[in-house]
Amino acid sequence: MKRLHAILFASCTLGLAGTAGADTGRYPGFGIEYGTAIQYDFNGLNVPGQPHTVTTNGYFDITNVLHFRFNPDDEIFLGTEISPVTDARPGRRRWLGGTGLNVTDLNWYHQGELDTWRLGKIALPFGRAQSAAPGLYTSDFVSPYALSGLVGATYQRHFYTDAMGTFAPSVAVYAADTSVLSRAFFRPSTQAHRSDGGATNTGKPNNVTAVLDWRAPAALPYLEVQLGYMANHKGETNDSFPAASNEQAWVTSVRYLIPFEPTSLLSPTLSGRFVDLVPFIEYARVNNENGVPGYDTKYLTTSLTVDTGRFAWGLTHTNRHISPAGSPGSNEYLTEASVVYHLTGLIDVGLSGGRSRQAGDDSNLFGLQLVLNGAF
Amino acid sequence: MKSHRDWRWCLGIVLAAFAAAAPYAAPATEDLREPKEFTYGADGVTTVTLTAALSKVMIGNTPYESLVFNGDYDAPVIRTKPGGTIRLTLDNQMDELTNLHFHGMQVSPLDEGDSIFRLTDPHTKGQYVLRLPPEHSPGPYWYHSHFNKGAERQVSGGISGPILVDGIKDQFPELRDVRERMLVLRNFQKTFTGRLASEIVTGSPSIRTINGQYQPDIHLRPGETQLWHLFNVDANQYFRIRMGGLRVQIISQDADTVVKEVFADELLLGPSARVSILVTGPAPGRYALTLGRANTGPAGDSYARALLGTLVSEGETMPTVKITSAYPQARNLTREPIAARRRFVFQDSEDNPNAFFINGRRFDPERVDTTVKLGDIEEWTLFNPSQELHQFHIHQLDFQVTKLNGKPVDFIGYRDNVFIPALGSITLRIPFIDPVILGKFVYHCHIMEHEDGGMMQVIQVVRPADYDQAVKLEPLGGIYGDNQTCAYLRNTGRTAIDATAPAPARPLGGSP
Repeated sequence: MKRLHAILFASCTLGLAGTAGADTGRYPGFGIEYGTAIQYDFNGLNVPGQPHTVTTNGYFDITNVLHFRFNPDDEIFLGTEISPVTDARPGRRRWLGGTGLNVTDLNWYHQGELDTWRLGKIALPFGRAQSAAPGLYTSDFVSPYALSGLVGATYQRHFYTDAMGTFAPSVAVYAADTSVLSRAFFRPSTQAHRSDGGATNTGKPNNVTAVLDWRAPAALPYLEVQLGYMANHKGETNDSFPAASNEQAWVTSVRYLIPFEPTSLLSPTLSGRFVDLVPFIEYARVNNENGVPGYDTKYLTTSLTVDTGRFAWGLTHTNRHISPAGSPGSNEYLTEASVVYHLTGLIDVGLSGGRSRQAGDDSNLFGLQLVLNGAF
Repeated sequence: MKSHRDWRWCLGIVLAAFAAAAPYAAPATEDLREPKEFTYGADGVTTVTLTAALSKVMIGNTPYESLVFNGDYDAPVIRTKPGGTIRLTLDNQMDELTNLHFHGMQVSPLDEGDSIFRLTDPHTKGQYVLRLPPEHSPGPYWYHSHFNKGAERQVSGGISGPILVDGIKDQFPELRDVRERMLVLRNFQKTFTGRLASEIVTGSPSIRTINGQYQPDIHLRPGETQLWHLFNVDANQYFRIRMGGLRVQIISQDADTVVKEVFADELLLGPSARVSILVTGPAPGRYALTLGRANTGPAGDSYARALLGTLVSEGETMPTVKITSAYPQARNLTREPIAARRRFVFQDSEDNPNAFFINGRRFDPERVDTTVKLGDIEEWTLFNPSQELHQFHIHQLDFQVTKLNGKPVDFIGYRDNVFIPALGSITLRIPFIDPVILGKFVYHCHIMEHEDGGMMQVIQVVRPADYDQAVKLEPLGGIYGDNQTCAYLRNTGRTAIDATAPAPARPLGGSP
């Protein structure tokens, strides 16, 4: 709590300093962007020896970004999300239940000519499957290593050469958020505490992530590569968490964008007759996932997106191999096929169906999402 | 009970959001108006005052409060001629900085010329003096705010307007008696508040207008030939226009007269593009002037289909005018020696939808990115590894498109802006040979969301003798400083600069 206050105080102080030196144009200024999603999830759970259980959950997912701009390069970035903060109980048919508000981001954001940094409550730029792989559910499946909602700082700088393209190394230091912003608002919820344990829950920014993004070399102009390393300290131990270990993770991903060239001209593009293929593969290895000693995991996500005008067709498979120390290994997976239809410039309709195995249980998944984006 | 409150609360927000997205329909009965005009006198000088202010205006048929010129969403046209002069006062009554760029015009960026490095503070006045060379290409140009990181919103509001350089009818005397029309295309983002949006979100529900009017009628007689100048003065939008199945003849694109006969069923106007066309009155009837649904790529924007206006053909049949004069010729630069080849990558950010890069950098007005010798012709290849279109524009200059995705392109004339295919490339030959361009200016993506997000770089064009020194000074802003008071100018003077002019001074042609 004190740490967050200190960061916010520092941010506001910097902001006021920025205001004093800001030009006399539209700064300081204020802007709002929103995204409103209505989503309906269907989950058919098959547990051996038990009756088939169907859970449905319909809900709003409303995201808002508020920009408090001090000058063209600096702003306070406040991201909020109104969505269910509790899971639907198995077998329940829930509609608009469990809704609360979470503060997902609150940071000082600087976007310069060559460098970018954030200070405050942030998401880590580690891993791309959560955003690059198509589908509604993959982002949750890979969330154990695609961390967000942390308190700390990230810094990234761009380097470019004609032959090698763009290199963007970044580094982040952070800790788990145990401030009041870790709880949900407008819904009974609990604030995170140090005693909750888990990796990164150290109370000080002694966890670190280093990532290198490499894009668009001259020989392969549509190539995107990410290499990342993460080292997180263990949190406190107590009766609930009698043992803890430091967590380490490595990630490698490759995405290549393949246009169908005749459709990339202006008329086919504008009339929505373009076609491109986007294969993506990401491998992540995590040792002592979330600080649990010996709980090692490996994730392999492969996906293919086919963009055809107003439709984006996707197929994603993620395999999670778990190797607990002293126990036999197991595999979990999520496979989903999806399609997004761009109804208008701001309204998308998404469908996703698939199958998953987690904790030994098989599920059939189906989701429908309607998204509206806009601004005031 | 609690979940019921949640339900109503969330539903209220969503319904309100959808209500904002609902299209506004209003009957169209007005004839197309001509924009108000500032024109030149016998001395060839056009004197203009543009007052930029937050004003209550009609956007089509809907009242809004927006940033506009002279109290009207339909900004005045500035008419001039080759060899003419524009003396313009920018009276900035807005509470924010602004400036002007004179898009496409081959005029000096120095002194009080067309420099985006000059700004006009709130509630002050700025002065611009543009001297057009006698060989300046005729046709449609435009003026607009180029205020760094604020241009998108200002232009979306209405801080932009048309310029017409007379002279097309001199190139084609048979057009002397045809009616000339200006169609200024705009796109205004709808809001809940009745005011210009705080954030421009491309693809939002919007009001599309011609000359500020919602779905006007445009009259012509069967067989009649009219010369139309279409201006895309919107910040971001691509216009894909069809005219009820009619075929039109393209006379110029971006105010560069074509070098041969070109016809089109569909007009594709990227952000900042202009086109002059001959329209021939069809059989009596009403013909929809439609804006097709447009999509700028998987990671881009999409725009809804719309009716822009109606072409009304009625009355007595008139004889159709055909082009009989020879087309003006222009140097085909593919046959010219190339002094340098450069590669530029126009790239979206990995994770920030508001950040855009050229060669891994965002715009810095204090730094020069490219130095070019006056007299050189360069070949630039622009790569777009993003899944959306970008729209290249360079100030002060026209260029020739030579390749698209590596394949040769037929030469029909120069351009001052062109799309870069999503996941593709375009190759240009740029003649840095007109001495009027000496100075510092910019090239950028003309989707202003991208331009404001950093997809812009600074170029300085210098005398060959100054090249080495100019390159050394790139990190410090180059040898021209702010184009007005730099030591380079004081030491050399304009006379010395103008003395570098090769003969003929306008080497790109223009005569039959």
